[in-house]
Amino acid sequence: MDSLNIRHHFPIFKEHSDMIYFDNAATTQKPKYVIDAISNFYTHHNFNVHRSVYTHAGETTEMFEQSRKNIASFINAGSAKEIVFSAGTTDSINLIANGYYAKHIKAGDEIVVSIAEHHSNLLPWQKIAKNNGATLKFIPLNEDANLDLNAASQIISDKTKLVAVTAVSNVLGNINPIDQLTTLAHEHGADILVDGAQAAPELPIDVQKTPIDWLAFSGHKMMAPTGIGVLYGKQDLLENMDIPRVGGEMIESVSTTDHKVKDIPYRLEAGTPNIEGVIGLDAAISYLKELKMTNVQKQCEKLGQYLYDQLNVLDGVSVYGPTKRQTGIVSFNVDNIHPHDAATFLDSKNIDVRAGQHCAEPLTHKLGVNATLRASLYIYNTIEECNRLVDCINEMKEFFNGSK
Amino acid sequence: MDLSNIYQRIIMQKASECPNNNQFDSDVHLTNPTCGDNISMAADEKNPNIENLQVSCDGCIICKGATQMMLEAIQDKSADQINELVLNMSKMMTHEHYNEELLGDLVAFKSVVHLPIRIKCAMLPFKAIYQLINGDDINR
Ligand SMILES: Cc1ncc(COP(=O)(O)O)c(C=O)c1O
Repeated sequence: MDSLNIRHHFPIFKEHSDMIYFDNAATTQKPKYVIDAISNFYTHHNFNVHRSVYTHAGETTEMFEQSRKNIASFINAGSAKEIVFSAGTTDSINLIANGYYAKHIKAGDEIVVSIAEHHSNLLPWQKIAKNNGATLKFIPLNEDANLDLNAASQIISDKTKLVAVTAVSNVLGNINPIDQLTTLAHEHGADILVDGAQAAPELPIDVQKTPIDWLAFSGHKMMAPTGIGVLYGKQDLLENMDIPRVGGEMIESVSTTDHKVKDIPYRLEAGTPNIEGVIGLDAAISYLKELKMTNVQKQCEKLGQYLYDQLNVLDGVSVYGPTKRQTGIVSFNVDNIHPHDAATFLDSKNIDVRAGQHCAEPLTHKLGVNATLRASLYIYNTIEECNRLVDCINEMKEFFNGSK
Repeated sequence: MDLSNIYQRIIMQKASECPNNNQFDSDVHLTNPTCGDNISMAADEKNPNIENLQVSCDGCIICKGATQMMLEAIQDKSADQINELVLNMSKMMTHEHYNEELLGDLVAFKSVVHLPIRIKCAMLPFKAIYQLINGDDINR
């Protein structure tokens, strides 16, 4: 895959030609293809879906539902019915927690998460555990900073009702063994929810090959607009979900006193949906399909490994996570320089990296630090940009410590 | 962006002198949730005597520099005078008119205004001392 060629698809890199954008785990840039799809929608197809008989609205409804089918096929869902549109990963996980587990988790039950969860896949379960008298258990990391499967097989038991883990840590960048965790969960009669926020942009996902029960991901982290996300759930689970919101769009019939709701997924999507977001997500997915997810994964892994190797040999730099890199996410610290100061310094060199706890405070503390720097690379980043970061880190050491 | 305006020598120097030995029970503990800066303060008697003030700060240069320089600025000041100092610091950070003379060396933080996300770092010790003295948050 040729990053330089790919960069040309992204208008923002023309606008900010000197910028090194290394904060892709926060949000990704949008290719012209996606921007055009949204603009095309507003220029030619801006009609509401699922309500009107006139041809225009019918066409938009068809585009909208075709997008749902394409998104289903992107993760190989059994049916488009299993795709519910949400506002993003956080929204999806909250919908699942409040709509399903709030009523299915009983006192004494256990919910298992990993220590490396983003707050989005931690706080909803903390809340349910607290409200329902259940226990929240944590799968630790092993010495290589990968999820400890041995520990997981001890922790997941017949008491476990749900295993909720991220497929890719947004701090350490490792891919979790979702296959094995799915088998473990199912052996004990538990469900498994996968936070796909960082996986959907980088890895091929097949929810039938690895038969997870729930998947949540965000459009904006995979080149689609903000405000659109996906909640994938197995049909029987979605059918047993409480309806989160009532109102227009989700009903079969309404009398003055009662209403009959539509089938899934519509009854879980009250109100006019984010049509632009769905169209944009569909476009992002066809863009990714064109590149092929296996190539996307290879490219991110290659860049992640290169940056890791470069940083790892620098004096006074600690890089976190496994030595064998699988994604474009690399977190690190420079001795005696607080990540906040480092990020400000790098900002002055036009390099955008994230500093902080990355919404994963328990993990950050586990690493024994208050904060880290994170460079998260995506398909349009280059080896030259990695080299430039390394040079700037050397300059930075001089600036703050007076030494290299 | 001119880094040397933000990381002025005095700030870098004072940051290196900032106490960080969290060995006491704190009366006030504040953190910056996005970056992990944190500060603890304790005093035997709160208002107006803060002579036995204990402070520990772990964070970035801006936060540590601000902590140390604040500690130096509040020496021999009454609670009212400290509140006045906090208010003026806060005004400087929000582009309002402030008393430069009263802030003294703390004016070194003026450039932080251009880095909105770092304002919280500079203000953390001032928020903490305000809470310690007044028992509640500065309402601005
Ligand atoms: C692993 C992980 N989970 C969840 C989220 C939350 O995604 P969103 O803010 O799009 O809901 C993120 C994004 O920061 C993430 O990295």
